[in-house]
Amino acid sequence: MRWHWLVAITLAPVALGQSSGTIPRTPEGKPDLSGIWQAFGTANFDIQDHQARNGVPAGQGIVEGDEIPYQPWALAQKVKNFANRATADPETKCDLPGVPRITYSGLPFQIFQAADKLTLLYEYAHANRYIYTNGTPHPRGPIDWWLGDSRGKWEGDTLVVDVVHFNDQTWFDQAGDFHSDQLHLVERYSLLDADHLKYRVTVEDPKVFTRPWNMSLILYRRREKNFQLLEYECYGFDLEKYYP
Amino acid sequence: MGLRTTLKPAIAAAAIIAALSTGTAYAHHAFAAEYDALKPVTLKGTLTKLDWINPHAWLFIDVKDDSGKVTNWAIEFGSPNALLRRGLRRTDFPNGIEVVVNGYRAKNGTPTVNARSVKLPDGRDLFAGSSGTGAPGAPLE
Amino acid sequence: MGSIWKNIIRNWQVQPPALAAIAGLAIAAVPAHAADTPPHIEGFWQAVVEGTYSLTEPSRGGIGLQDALGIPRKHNASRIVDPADGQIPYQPWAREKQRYIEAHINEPTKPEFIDPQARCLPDGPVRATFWSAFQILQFPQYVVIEYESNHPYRIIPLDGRPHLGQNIKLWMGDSRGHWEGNTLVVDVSNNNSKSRLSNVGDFASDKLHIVERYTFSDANHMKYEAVLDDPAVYTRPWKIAADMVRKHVKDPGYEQWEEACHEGERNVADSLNTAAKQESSEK
Repeated sequence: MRWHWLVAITLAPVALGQSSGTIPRTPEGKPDLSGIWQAFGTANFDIQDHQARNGVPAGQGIVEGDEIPYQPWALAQKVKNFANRATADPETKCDLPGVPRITYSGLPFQIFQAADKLTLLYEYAHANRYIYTNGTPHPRGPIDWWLGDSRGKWEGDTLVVDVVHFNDQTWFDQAGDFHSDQLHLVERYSLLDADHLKYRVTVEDPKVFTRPWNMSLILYRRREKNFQLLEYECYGFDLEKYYP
Repeated sequence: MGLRTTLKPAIAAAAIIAALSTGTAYAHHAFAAEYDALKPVTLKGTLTKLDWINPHAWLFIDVKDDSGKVTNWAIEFGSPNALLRRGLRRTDFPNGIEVVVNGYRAKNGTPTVNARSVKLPDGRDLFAGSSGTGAPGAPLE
Repeated sequence: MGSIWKNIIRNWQVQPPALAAIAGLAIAAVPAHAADTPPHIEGFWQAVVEGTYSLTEPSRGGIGLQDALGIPRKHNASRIVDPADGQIPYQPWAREKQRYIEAHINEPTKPEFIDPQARCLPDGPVRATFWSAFQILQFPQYVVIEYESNHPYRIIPLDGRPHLGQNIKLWMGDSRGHWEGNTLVVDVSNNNSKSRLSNVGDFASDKLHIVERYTFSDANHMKYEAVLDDPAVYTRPWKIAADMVRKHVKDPGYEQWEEACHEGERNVADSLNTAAKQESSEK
């Protein structure tokens, strides 16, 4: 057992920060997802393929197969949401964006990985998530949280995270894609190399969709020297005038 | 006036007894800007709606007065997390259940109350107020 | 010897010189310096005297309420330990401003009389320390503090990097930390100071500079000290001190749960409307 630790310790620092080569690992031998990550692209505007519109660049979608299997009533709702998005998008109120939108919001987030949990701190409105990897179950529902409850376990080198206990107040993007409080996600995080984190999420919601569907994207490690999270306290922007 | 005098020691006693901090349930507003500690009220009504939101959950209850007129009252709670940790869920508050609320009336005259306690039909008496803001029942040392 | 291995495992991002020492350990037992190891500070902590209504009367709940109810008011010692009178050493104009705000908090006829905390804006590093329990996460390169109420957080690098440039101001400031024995010393600059230091209107400017000391005397006790320095508002630096205890010692499974705030905040508008009505009815 000790020799395994010694090997892991001697190898890891050599790989760390040198190149995009070897995956960094924890003393327990798991991939270490610690660091500052950011998604690029236009998923926060529209998770499906879209051409440019005012303020929104064109983008290839992150929805696998580019189709979101809405139930008929839900597709009509999405169309309504899209038409009203300038005021109806919860992001205009700086509400917590829900999951997975907070992953591809366009702002960076930092992962701190310990043996019992991963702590994810997002620059967006000081949001945070804990992904417990200590074998604990979800608390009993029903619970309505903006960012759900996350419990993870390792399958090989992939962190598989089960997320439930959502409210129905968030959208997946600015284009009006939405869900109910029955939303159930399974996220998969796997390091392609030290600087690229593949993120794939399976979306299930029997109230809104006819079947599960998937989104996938790549998160990039921010390697600039002394890069750090700043703040985006969006709901405070209009209020700052009261507190000069 | 007489009513207030007899109620005063009872309120004070209740406030001290109820001065249990849930630990993290400090409220986000100055109690006295909205509610009047000299206007305690007890309401018995049926639940019409529950907003299980942070930082304060809200109950809405229909209260019938002696003439039979029904008024819908808004009852402000503490943080839902405090209730979650005590094992409560929003399904414990189905519409139609009868609750008894003790609290303090809003200064603005609307049927709004900051709750100090809420009794459920099964007899459970919850400490539902928010502490740390000047609300009666805030930790006194 | 066992604790040295534990430290190596926990602090796995070892520096190259230590790497050689580890290699050496397999052959010849050369113990690492246990004295360099910071104490284990992970977990939940909370001020013994909670609350942020007032710094000078920390257990005070509200103006006049205890009096109205006939409950004798007991004043706790001021959190301010320097200067000796326990008061914030305001410049005269600043003392006037604080009193002006304090006089109006129960009848907020203007938006500025609403405490930013009521609007769910982040409290700033010092006030957040007293408002709720907080969780400390400890890593070799960082200490992370997660405050339970409204979940603001602070990421405190320990690697000696410089502060942000002065043109970036943050609600929770910019923190840089290092260990001095059992004390975590945190230097906090880049404060936007748009939040207040208490309900009764204590404040600073964006020139505010804070030095915190978290001194861990044993596994469950810590003393928090903060020196606040702001030449635009105070006549001299002043210091807060408070005892903190470890929480949930008997409940190791306790988890920090989501505390959204501004999404569901409904009291501010009502407070302003109530005050406006009262003001017009008094006219």
